[in-house]
Amino acid sequence: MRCRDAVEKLSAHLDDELDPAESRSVEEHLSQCPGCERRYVLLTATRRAVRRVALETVSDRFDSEFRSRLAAEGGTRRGGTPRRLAIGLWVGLAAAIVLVVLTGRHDGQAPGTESGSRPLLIREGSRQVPDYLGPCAQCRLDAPCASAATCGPATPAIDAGLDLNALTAGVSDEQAIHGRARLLEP
Amino acid sequence: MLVARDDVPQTSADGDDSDEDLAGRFSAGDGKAFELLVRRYRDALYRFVRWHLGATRSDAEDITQDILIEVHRSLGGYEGRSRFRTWMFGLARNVCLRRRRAAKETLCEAAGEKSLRELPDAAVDLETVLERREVQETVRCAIEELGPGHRDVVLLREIEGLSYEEIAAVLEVPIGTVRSRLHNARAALAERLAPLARGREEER
Repeated sequence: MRCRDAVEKLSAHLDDELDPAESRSVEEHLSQCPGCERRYVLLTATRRAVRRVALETVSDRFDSEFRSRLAAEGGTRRGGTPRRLAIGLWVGLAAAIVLVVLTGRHDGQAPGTESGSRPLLIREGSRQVPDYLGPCAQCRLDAPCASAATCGPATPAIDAGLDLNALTAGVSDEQAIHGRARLLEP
Repeated sequence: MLVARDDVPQTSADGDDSDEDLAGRFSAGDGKAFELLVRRYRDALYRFVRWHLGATRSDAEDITQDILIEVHRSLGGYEGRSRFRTWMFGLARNVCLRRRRAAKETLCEAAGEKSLRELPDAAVDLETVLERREVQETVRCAIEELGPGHRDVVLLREIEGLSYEEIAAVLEVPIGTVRSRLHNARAALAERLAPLARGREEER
């Protein structure tokens, strides 16, 4: 494997995302090429540094604030309720249509309602429809994704290709492997 | 090989139930299951919001709560076709995109100095605080300077431990794009860190 090919695969190798044959080839190359090994060490150190910096957590007050918000939003409702209500509504609608077809009546009044009882459709329809049933499913479907505006263009400087040799120029193997690793060790 | 490979951090450490089991239990009416999911993912969502939008801590917490409210509302419709965390990060991304469109600018730009440049770690070793601040600030700036697409990939991979396939699903891009963005983003970050390492060595 040539250095150019190895450099292209180092990031995926770091993530265990290469197939076994590719991974073996990269390992073999790294064992024979100090330059690429330095690059790999630098990638490893960079990962540690990113993890240390980015690993933030929410504040202590987050849980209590969220609990209050959830309660204010009607969060006591259980997750299964919306789907059951939706099924009930469809069943009710279907039943009402059947009744209308069977009786030939189109006045919205089902048989047996003359005495004051309300038709099935209305009875089902009068149940509280969860206000979050539709909108949230819509929200998820509506949002256009993966457009240039949302993902952002690739950074030109990055896409131009970095000369990783330049990154490690003037640094001995010992410095690269031990110096950098020590500097960025968590 | 001298370098030991880092293990990907676990994101579902608390409890034995899988995310998908908890989602199913919530759909069946178990409110406690949602609490467990919140405990498991609130920090991950917070980090995603903070880095994706460049939001202040306070704004990031508010938006994280918005996302969790939306997860709560939508969870009844989760059918398990993808992993729960893929579904959840996808939902989080959509909330962030709506925010971006609404604001027409990033919160980072609006908030100026109060943004990501805040140092998060109060419990630092006093003897090494200067060095750590220097390193952290450089890394922080380097991450900020990545484009949003590259930042998302780095965060979802390095911090949240998502696979390439999961990241591709969350961001709705091909796996090859995930791979190339990670490669490019890491190269850019490494470029920023290399002088630090050289400077440190020269001091010795």
